[in-house]
Amino acid sequence: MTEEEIIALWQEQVAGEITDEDQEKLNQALEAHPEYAVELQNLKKTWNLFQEIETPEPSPRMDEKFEDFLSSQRAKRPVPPHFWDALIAAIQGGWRVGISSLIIGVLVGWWFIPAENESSDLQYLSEEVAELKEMMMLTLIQQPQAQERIKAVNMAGELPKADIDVINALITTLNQDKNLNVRLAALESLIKYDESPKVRSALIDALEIQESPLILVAIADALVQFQEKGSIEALEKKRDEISSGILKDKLASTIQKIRQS
Amino acid sequence: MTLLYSSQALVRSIKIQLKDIMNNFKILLIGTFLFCAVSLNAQEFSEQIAVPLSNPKEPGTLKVNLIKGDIKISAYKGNEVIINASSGDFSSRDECRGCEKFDQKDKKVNTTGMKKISSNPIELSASENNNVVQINSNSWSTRINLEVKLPQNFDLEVSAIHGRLEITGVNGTHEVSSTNGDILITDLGGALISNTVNGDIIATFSSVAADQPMSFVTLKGDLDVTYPASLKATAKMRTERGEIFTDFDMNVDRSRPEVKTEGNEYKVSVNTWVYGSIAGGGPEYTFKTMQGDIVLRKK
Repeated sequence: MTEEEIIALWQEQVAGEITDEDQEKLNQALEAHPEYAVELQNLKKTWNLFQEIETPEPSPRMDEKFEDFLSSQRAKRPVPPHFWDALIAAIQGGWRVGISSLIIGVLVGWWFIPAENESSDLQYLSEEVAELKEMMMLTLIQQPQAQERIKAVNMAGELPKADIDVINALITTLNQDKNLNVRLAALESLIKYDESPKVRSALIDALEIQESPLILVAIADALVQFQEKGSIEALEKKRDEISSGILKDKLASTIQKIRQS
Repeated sequence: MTLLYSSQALVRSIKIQLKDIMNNFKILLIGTFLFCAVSLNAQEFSEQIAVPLSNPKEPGTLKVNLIKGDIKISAYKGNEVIINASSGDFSSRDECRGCEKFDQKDKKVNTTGMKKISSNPIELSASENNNVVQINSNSWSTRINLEVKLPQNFDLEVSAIHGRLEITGVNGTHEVSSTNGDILITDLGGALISNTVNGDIIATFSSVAADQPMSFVTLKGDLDVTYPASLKATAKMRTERGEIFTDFDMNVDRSRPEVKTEGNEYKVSVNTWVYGSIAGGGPEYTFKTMQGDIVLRKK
């Protein structure tokens, strides 16, 4: 039996927890090694001495001192902040960082996240093209060459929806262009915007302005197509101004057709 | 005994002024004619002037405005614009539809059996500025027939009121109009925009400019236009009382009547344009007449 085993058994014995079997083993071992027995005897004496030392009762003074110390340490520690205070503090401290990261986030998102869908892209593109066409048309319509102006007024008739600039440009061309072919082309494009009351009233006004039978016949056709009853007075006035000829007949039949519509 | 009339021009002044105004702006006033022709038959004068161009190698533009008289324009191999002006009757009187009516309206007194000895001044001016040649006449009472020869590459802007227009062999972008006369065009190159009220438009193209629209409009007359067989265009045609003919292989799309419903009302609008694409379509060529036919020929 080794020394460690003997000590372990002995500690059990001192604690009073040793089994009878182990007690027997211990006794045998001590008998076999008397030097251990002496040592253990001394140890036992010391142990017993420890037992005899009186544990001093803590004095009330000590309690006081401890309480004082505890409260002084508590006072030194910062008071745990209130929830709202903590939040405000956090916001005050980092708002610049927060705002800038928000902006960066939005920008990055803007950059990386694809547009909602392709159709909105296409719509945007076609709007752009329409705008470009409109600009081009308003430029071309002032070109000295009649061919270019015809291109412009044809282009105006193909715009998905004409704004007031386009309609005004077409009306001006109808009434003022020096070439009759261009005037007629402008009229054809204006007919496509028949929903616009401005176009209808412009055609009625043009009856008075225009002199060429080529234009007047075309305006009469357009007014029949529009079934524009408001034009009858202007048509009758024009009819009465003309002495005879196919224009007079045309205007008369136009008035009749509009009345019947 | 034949009564002697002073048959030559009594007053003839030709002013030639050469002016350099500003740096590039050169006006060359070629001539102003003032004729007091006293004659019975108004066949009394014939005058020729040659107008040199500022840049003979560049294409030019000819602008002519004439009230009464025929205009003949033809290309020749030269660098100048040669203008022949002559008084006289219409070269073919019957071609000037509506002229008689116009003349009748002018006559306020009965002159049957009388001899005409009155004199009418004729004013005709021609000017050249940076290759743009302009010929103007404000003569309402006396007819002036013009014959113009010019280099092949020229843009034409020709308008006449009572007169027949004949144009041959010119290449460019053209605007030609006559109110009461026919327009006869042969071997034209480029693009043409043309209108007349009472006449026909008969045109033959030797070549056409790509992507340039053309337009032919008349009220009473026919439209007869001949194009090269290689033509690519979209024809937009409308005749109220006539017919449309073509020997081109044309893909015809007659626009359908549009019917709009508003409650119990039905609105029917008929767009009577006929669209025909030739060789897949191209620039828009408009043909419109009220009483005449439309003929599109393949050369």
